[in-house]
Amino acid sequence: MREQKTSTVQRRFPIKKRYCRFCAEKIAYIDYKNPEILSRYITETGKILPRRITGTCTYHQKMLTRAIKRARILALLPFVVK
Amino acid sequence: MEIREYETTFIIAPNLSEEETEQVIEKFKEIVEKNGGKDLETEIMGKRKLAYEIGKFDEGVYVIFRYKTEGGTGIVAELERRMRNDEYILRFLTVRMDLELKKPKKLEEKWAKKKQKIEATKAGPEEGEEKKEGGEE
Repeated sequence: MREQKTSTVQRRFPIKKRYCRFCAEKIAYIDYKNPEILSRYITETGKILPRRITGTCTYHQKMLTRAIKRARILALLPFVVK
Repeated sequence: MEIREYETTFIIAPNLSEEETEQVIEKFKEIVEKNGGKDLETEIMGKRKLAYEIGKFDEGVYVIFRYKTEGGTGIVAELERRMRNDEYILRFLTVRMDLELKKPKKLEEKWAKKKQKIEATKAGPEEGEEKKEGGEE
């Protein structure tokens, strides 16, 4: 058992370095009226993806969250998808 | 008084004819102008499918108003009150854009400065100074 555990420590694939897409593309303001971009940051069930998965920086994650919430009010994005 | 910039997005019911939709937009334009709204810009995004049903509709006509006002005119309150009481308005949202864009503008300036700096160092001797702005945590 123990040997198996240690063997799993070695990763088969190197972890890709995540980075903030908005910083890389120099997007200073995230518009709530653009569901095409925002929808990349929600799950199929409509939840907002956390930073640890998308790699978005604090500044942009905060703005992204607000934008998604506003887009939901305007029915551009769903609150929930069953 | 300071000048405030607002952006009001609203959804009009899809079952109206083009003329009627135009009339509704015109009506709200007047309200903005009567209440001290300046530089009113209208953007009609057109008919879009809604992400979820509102009432019995699954699509709606999206319209954006951008306007400026000097503080304390109560324009947003009046506009929103009228929209709330209008049966053809499915949804509305007002955002104060001048406050909203304060930080992004600063960031853009920062980026522009950085770019200049990099271009300047490219011409001259290279310096080991290249940290991405706000990129990493």
